[in-house]
Amino acid sequence: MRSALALMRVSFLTAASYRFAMFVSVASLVLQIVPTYFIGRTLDPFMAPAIAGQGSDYFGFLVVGTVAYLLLAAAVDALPRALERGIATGTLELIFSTPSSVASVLVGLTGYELLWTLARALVVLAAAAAFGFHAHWARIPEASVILVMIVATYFGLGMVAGAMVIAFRRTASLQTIVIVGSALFGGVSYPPSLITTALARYSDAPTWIARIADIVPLTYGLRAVRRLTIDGAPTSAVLGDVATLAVFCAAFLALGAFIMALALRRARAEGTLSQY
Amino acid sequence: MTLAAPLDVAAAPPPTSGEPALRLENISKRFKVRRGMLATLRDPRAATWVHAVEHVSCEVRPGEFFGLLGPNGAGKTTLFKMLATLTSPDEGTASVYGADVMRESREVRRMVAPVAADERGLHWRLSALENLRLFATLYALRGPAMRERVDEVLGVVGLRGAEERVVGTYSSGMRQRLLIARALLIRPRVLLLDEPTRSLDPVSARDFRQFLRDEVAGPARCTVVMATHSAEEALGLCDRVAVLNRGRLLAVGAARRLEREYSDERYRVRTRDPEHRVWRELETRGDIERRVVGDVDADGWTSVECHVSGGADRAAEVLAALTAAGASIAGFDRLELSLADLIERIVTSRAPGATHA
Repeated sequence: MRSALALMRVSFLTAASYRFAMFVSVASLVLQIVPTYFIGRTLDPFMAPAIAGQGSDYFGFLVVGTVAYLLLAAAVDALPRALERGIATGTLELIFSTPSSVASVLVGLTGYELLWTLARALVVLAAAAAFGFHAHWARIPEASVILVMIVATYFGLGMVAGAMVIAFRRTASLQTIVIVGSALFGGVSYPPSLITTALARYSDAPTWIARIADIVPLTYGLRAVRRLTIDGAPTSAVLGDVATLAVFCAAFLALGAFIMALALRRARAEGTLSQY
Repeated sequence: MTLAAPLDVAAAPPPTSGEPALRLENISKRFKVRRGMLATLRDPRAATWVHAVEHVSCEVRPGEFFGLLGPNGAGKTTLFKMLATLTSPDEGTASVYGADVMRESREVRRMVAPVAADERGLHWRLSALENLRLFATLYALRGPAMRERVDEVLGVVGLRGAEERVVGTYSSGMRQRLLIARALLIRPRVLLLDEPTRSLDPVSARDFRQFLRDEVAGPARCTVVMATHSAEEALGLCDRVAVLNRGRLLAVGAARRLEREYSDERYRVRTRDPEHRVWRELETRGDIERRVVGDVDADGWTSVECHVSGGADRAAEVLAALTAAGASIAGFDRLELSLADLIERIVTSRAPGATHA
């Protein structure tokens, strides 16, 4: 645990040494709320029927989607990027030559990025609140647990991407595929049901595309979070989605850990742990 | 570089059970040679392997200063990486104080501290202090003990006073010293140094060697394994050296003994009479083989290099014969075998078909 905290501290100190980038990162999020607000309010009348089950406020819908998107993108991308940096600078080899466990090293390498993203997500929520975003704050604890599950699920996929960095030095754009795919089909900016509606207009459109949303963990997590925070639905109303997300979470974490272990074994066998 | 070192650098003395610090038994490692796309498509199953380390067996004693010599690609770094648990052997076993590098890798990492040849491995945007604190925590040092140890190693490598500076502003030598300070944090039982003085200026390198001799390998009984291309380090610092070539261990022994064994007893004679008849007489008798190697200086002196077989006694007889014959001799010095020559001779003599035992 201390090893993980020490690595997170170093990541923070390194990031803090790039003060301008840190400032821009926060400022851009605050500014992003402005167009989100206007788009949300403008499209509200059109989107209301489609998002009826997840709150009737399209601006709130977008805000929750943005927060979840930020967290999932960090969960997928933080580890492969940290490993790439560690390999390029040679720090990874030295860290792996210490008695610290692989798990604490992986958590330590990504912990700061995740916490920083959480802070940025809070900035988004605060800015959105200033623009009139209303949430059922009493549901925040349950919603936070679901967001943590979303992060854990996507961290599993981040481990797969990290394993690819260790094994092949490239991720073959896995993170991009996961992030963009989840954003398109997981309901970040519009409900997945809208895809079915849109496809129904074209008789020759492949209908299986609409089914992709079913295999995207974000679909379930985001729907549950929105129902809790925007609709104020009771926890019992989202148990089905949470259970599905839990299955994804367990499966992806196990898959990520397994593939990471394989990649580390391969890198040790091939002597490529430190090659860059 | 000032190396005001404390005494407490290495771990507590190892167990006295007679266990070697390092034991390599028939250890091998080979790597697949990367092929081009076309070659892979033509024959996907074909593979070419290069043997980085091939059936190496040897032991290093506790507290010993052990040198690894050999040309580039000899397998030194691969051997280091296997000992540091970063690369797994294909065959054979390696252990550190009885702990197997594969099965007990975590235990091994508590005892072994590697120092790489380059300056990578540091966080350049952070201060030296922050770098050391990070690794102290990763090595499970805590609280006041950690602060004390960090301060101690900063003093050891002469970086006290510069610890708050960002590493990116350090010189190469300072960064190398910081890497060594990092390795010393845990009071390692085994220190693996991969060309540690490569980035140091000659004075810093000399001071660093002195520090290793006096404070790390000496009273503190830390076992040091050092890959080096420096004759000063191999011959002046190491108790024993191993010579590797293409992954194979060619020779192990005391550096001076190997030097004697492979040296050809060459002497440099400073004379004013390189054409004196006595030279020809000695050559005719087979006592010497000579060649003039230097230009004649303003005072008429020149250098003659000659091979004298039969050891120091025979060389004394040659010198006596020269002076008795009236040849002007101003110097008669035995030529040290250069490290390059030593390695080359060992490699050549151990090549298939060579006659040297």
